[in-house]
Amino acid sequence: MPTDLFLLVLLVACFVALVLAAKLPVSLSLVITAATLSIAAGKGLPLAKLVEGMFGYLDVCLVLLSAMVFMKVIQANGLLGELTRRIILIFGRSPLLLLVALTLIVMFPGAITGSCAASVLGAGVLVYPVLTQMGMPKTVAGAVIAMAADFGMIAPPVNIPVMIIGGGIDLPYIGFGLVLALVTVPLAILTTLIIGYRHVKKDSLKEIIEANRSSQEVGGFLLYMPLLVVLVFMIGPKAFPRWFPDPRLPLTFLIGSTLGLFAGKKFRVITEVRAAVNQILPVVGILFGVGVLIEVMTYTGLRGAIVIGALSLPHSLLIAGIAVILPIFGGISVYGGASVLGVPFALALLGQNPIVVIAALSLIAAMGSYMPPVALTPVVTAQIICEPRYGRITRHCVLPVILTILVGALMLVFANPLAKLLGV
Amino acid sequence: MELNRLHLSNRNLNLVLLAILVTVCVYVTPGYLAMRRPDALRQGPGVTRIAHLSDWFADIKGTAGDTDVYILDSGKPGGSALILGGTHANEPAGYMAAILMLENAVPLQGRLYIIPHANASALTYTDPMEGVPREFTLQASSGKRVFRHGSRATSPMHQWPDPDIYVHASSGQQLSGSETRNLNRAYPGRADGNFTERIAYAITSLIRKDGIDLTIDLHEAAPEYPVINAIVAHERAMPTASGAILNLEIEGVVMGLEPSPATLRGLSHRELGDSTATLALLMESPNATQGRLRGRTDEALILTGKDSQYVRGQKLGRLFVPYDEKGWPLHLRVARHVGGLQAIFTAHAMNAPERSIVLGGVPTYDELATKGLEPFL
Repeated sequence: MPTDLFLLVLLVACFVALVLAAKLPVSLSLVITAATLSIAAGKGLPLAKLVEGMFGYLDVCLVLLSAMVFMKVIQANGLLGELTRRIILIFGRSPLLLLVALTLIVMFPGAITGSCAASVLGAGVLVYPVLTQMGMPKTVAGAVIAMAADFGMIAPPVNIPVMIIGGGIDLPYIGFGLVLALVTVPLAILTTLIIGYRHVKKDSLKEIIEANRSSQEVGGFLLYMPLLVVLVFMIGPKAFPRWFPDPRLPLTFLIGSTLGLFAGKKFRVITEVRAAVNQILPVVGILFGVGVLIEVMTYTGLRGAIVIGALSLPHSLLIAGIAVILPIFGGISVYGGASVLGVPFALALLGQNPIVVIAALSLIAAMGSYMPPVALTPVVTAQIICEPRYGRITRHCVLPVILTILVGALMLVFANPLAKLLGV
Repeated sequence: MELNRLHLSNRNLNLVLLAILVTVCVYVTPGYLAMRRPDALRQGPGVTRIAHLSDWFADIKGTAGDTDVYILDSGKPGGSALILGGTHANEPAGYMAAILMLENAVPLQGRLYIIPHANASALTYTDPMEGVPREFTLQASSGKRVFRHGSRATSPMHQWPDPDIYVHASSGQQLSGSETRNLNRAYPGRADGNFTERIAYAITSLIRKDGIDLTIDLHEAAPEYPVINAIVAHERAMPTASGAILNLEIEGVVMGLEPSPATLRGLSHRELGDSTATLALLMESPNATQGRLRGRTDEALILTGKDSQYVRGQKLGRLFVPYDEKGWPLHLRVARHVGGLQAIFTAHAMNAPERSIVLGGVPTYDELATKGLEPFL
């Protein structure tokens, strides 16, 4: 029987060869790699497992598809442009204030839904034109959006990695709000300023404000209805969970898209929907492929071998190991990393305050969304800014990502004093 | 990595790939649908009636949440107990212990209710990305027996989509959205709730209407999970649970005792104890197949529990249960549950003699541990 190390090397080599040498799509490469891994492990070609794995990210894919349709609709009917204009008119006087406000706007959908994709697709599309008008190159603007979206995913009230890890050790999702807010909001604002502030052309702000003030308003109040309804359906179920029906994100975006047809400029629906699906389909394909690969990694035992390898680190290196391994695994899935590695790591740190520890683990795990092969946040951001190479966005995020992981690691080291300080 | 290279531009190649995909999906569909066929369970000598859970809450009649309730009535005065297996259908020792009881137990005093598949929906599918087998086979004395192996939660075919966060109805506690389909986070359930909450409500209704004295929910846990090889008891059930642990110790079986946490809501031992008069208990045995550290995930792992990764995990001090090359085989895990049930009934009889539940025909812990499950199925 081949060793786990051999299988791991084979997996990496096969995937890299298929993507770089054979120049196959990432999604297809993932599926072929999974099949190769299974055969090499002596498990044959488990067709049922390959199909089963494809369903691993079905819900996320539906969110991405529906959100992209919504984005295209509000772009086409003029709402997006109008919102950009309004944001500039309200916050445009101070570049610092404007950047802070834009960061919080991007974080908001992620904080409400626990999904970075919702932040990018729901608010990133609104903020991107403002950032570019302020003078940021498009990849810098993309990086600002991606990072804010990631912090939004970790910010309260909804942090799904914390819920996943907490569920694994029977810790209810109670008492995390303060810790998560105190970590994510300052980090998000600081990150935006690190990445984007130096690109802001302060002198041009006045001109931009004037240009936007003089441009014609489109649509009136009805134009805003799709966005308002989407926001109500996003916030309502979280604010009033006992009586507000939760239509879930895909239906919410589709309702918003339908309303968008009746306000603002007229456009060809079928053209916009096709464009939306075409734009997001490669990401959906990657998620299907990742589901297949994880299924086979679990089936063959490679997933367990990787987890045990991570846990084999001596205690003195445990936190350093968490800081490296958790984001790497997040390259496949942040939620998957939280479940597969986050729970054992939380158990390994049981002597520390669990609220601070799990909040820190979720923060570190979230940085995995910049790692290949999925790199979900920059990949989705690349789609909305029409940037063919997501790496051009990621490179601006390296420093903030390292800083964030460092903050997470320090939280793990000083979990008990921090908990005492914050009263959690 | 270029995003615009992420999809193939060759139309013919795309069509070929699509045709392959459709063919594969069609090929695997019968195997998937086969999981909806119920396991063939043998009606034991003590079974006096087979009811349906919907008899206690008609709303679930005809749904995938309805499930058989086996009643073993001695006809003699005494207490009543409910055994829940398959609350989590990926914890086979739980439902195999329930099946073993219904196929062997003969009630001598009191009444026994057994629901081998409390969440029948969870047994109709396996979770994506978990790589678990759909069934396992035992060469039993009655012939070859095939048992399904399912998932922790209700099938998304029966309850979908999950919300972002799951809010437990009566407490307002928030959990990850996937827990919405977890029967053991849904108690006491709601008549007008979601599919899983209605199953929980039906079970709670059974307990209330039939005045069940003892409810024992049979589970398994990953070896890295702190509550393992243990009885978890509601505070009113603590005297019974501690008595049972002493009884087990006499038999040489070490079992931990965990009080039901007051802050963790929706679980059977908390909610059934709070909202009904039953004494609510839950038992856990160690199961590598549901663990995060597990290696090869196959039928052998379910049956033998042998796993080199867990042996490494034990050496690293990451587990809450001893784990060596012998593993934790299914028959030993079932033996712990069956032995635990008998010990609970004995302890209950000592605490409330007029409400005793006495069973004959049940193999002992030693018999199961040495002979395996096969002679008793």
